[in-house]
Amino acid sequence: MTFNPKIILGTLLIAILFFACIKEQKPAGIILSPTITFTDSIYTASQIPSAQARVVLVEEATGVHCVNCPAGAAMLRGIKAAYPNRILSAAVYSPFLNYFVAPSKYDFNTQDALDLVTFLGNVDPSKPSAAINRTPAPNNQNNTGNSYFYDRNDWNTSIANFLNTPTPVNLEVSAEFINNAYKLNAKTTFTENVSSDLAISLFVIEDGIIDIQDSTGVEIEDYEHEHVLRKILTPISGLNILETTPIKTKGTVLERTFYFEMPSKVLNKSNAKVLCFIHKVGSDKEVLQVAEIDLP
Amino acid sequence: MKKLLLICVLFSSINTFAQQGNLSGDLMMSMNFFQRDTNIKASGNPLYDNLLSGGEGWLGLRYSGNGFTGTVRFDGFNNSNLQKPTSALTAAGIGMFSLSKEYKNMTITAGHIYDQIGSGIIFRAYEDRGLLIDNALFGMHLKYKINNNLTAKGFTGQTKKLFERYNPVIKGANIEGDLDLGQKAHITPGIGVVNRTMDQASMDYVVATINAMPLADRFAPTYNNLAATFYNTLNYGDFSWYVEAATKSKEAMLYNTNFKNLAGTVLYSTVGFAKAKWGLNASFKHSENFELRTSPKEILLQGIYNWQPIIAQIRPQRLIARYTPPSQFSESGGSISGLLSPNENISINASYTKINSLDTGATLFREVFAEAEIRSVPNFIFHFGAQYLLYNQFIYQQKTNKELYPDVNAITPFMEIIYKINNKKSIRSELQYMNTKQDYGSWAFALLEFNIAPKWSFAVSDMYNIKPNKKQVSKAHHYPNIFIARSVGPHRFTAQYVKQVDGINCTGGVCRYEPAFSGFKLGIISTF
Repeated sequence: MTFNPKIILGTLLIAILFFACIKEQKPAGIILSPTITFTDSIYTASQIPSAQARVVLVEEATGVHCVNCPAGAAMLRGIKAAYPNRILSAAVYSPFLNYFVAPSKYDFNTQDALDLVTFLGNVDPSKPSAAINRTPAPNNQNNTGNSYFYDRNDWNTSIANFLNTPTPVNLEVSAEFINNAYKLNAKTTFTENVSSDLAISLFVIEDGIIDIQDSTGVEIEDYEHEHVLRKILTPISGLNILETTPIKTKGTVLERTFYFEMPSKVLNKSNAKVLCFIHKVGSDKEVLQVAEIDLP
Repeated sequence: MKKLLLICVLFSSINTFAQQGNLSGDLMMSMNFFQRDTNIKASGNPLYDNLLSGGEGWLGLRYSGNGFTGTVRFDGFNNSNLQKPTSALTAAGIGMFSLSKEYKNMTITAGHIYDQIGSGIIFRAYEDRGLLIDNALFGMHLKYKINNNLTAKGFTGQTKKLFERYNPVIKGANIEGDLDLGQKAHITPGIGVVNRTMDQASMDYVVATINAMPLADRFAPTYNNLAATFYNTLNYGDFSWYVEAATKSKEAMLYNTNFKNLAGTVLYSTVGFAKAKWGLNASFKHSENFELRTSPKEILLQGIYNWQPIIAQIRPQRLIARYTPPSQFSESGGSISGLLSPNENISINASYTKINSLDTGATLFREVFAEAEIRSVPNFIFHFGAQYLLYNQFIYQQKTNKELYPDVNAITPFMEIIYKINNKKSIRSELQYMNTKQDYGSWAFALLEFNIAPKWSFAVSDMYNIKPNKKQVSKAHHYPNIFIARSVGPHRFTAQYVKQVDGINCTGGVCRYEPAFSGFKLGIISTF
């Protein structure tokens, strides 16, 4: 059999041109435009309020097929009970041990959950584990594979350490439903000077989702999944606040008013809440204060 | 298990056809004994503190006959420092295998494939054991000889990752010609194209990283990247010219600490003209955002499936080799060199090299080099020369503080004398002095080597930080080396005691940082 070189060369060129002309669709999960709008109001408080007690943010990495996660969730409930109103949490259903398969009713996976664990430490950690106020610890990499996520044996100590640390910002949130959209006001008051660059983040979480959960030696058919991360309304790294003010002086007040719609992932609006927190940006991601509000 | 079956099949084939074919092989083994030395920072990792020894070995077997070629290689690493010089790698298995059959102008290969397109700018699958680079393509490869002047090849597979593979898929095609143009001119033109398709897990990582960037910097990444190249070698009498132009489509690339959506280009050319008593060579490269990896998640030497030729010449002198410039993915540079041999006893070589960064316009590398070799004295060979270099340590070695790591300016005279005692015995000595105020400061190097051909070789050398830069090192240190080699037929055994300063280790323009080494090394190389 003989081939004409011109035919082979022509075929290759056509194949290259054909391939070069094909346009790919955007990959799933990429966010190229803002999902939330806001307005700012900045002023100085006539009277500086006293500092709030610090509330700790726990971002709990969990999965439907993680057999130790129900025990982890129970442990976190116990710690919360020991420190009432001082700990707020989101259950981050990232892909590891969280594949969706029948007879589960709901797919808890979200791109935001994967984005979040990747943003914090590049790797979906072992589970159960939890980021506590977004501060890394040297042993975490060995324990969970992600420097920001603490093994559950370390939760109590790490949370307690933060509870004893004062916060330089007070955070108050309120929400209302107007014109088929949610309006959320986050009032940040500086009770101390802060020189770090800061940002604000909003998570929509949902309680009371009944579905299957694997547990040690048994499958729990009617497990109540709580604080499930449904949507991160802000960019993963947060929305910068007062970025042109290098030192946020004591008494400065920022009221940021957000407008957004209920994310489609939410199953029951009456169980939806918003977690709002102020945190540092850059290599230091420490969370300074957290607040939570039920959506009306 | 599948690999085991495959090897059984391979060796049963060997038994069946052994009388008609040829079985050959090679063995390479090395063993390191780590001797802790806190003075030169050969400490503070498990190799020096706890494990104390390690090694690696490769055994390759190749059978060929009746147009069939089967190759298999066992790779073993036991507490090896080769992959990452500060930690131990322990793994063993089939490092590569391939089955190849040539039949009616078609060569079909399956398994681990080593090949390249052009000079390797858009695709090169190769092995470099010194840096533990082995990016063979695991897949299939077809090569068809269309006629006496034209060959086409196509391939697809995944890039090897030690004993595993990177998930993205690579495929490519290449047509190469080989033509006479009249009596004197000959050309070997070629075109090639390579496509990489990212896997979902890699894309998920890219998406997650982009989503964490400020909105203004975000972009929609693509699974596919397409790279194409055209190249040609022209030989006309004493003149030769190689040129290659390559381009690649936009893709997510790690740029400093963020992803950017960048297309890339490379223009590379070398020109040579050689007469009996003199010759001229020049080379040029303009490379913009050109780096091909299985995914932008991979860093350092991971997941690279291309290779870029380097403009700077790689020098064998121990002190000069300390500042070899690796290829950058955005750089522009050129080199020119001239050789003069007025008679058979004298040859003189001089060259100039200039490389700048394309991103910042920063000066990356300058070299003025001259050397001469004199053979006019009976039984002696004198080789001497000098180099001036400027080396941008801040960029090449990815330092974080330019003030602490300014450009290295160094002048290095060197001399080598070989004395042939008789037909078998010879003595070789080297003296080098590097004068610099930057990095670790000035160095002196001396070597004495005694050879009894073809069986024995003995060498002692020392590298001494004669005028240390106190900003970088607290005091001067000696880095001695004692070396013995013994050859017995096809076997070569080596033993050496080494203290080696930390620095950049480069092979073929690919470099990595290696910490100081202190200890004994044993080695065996054998072919059969």
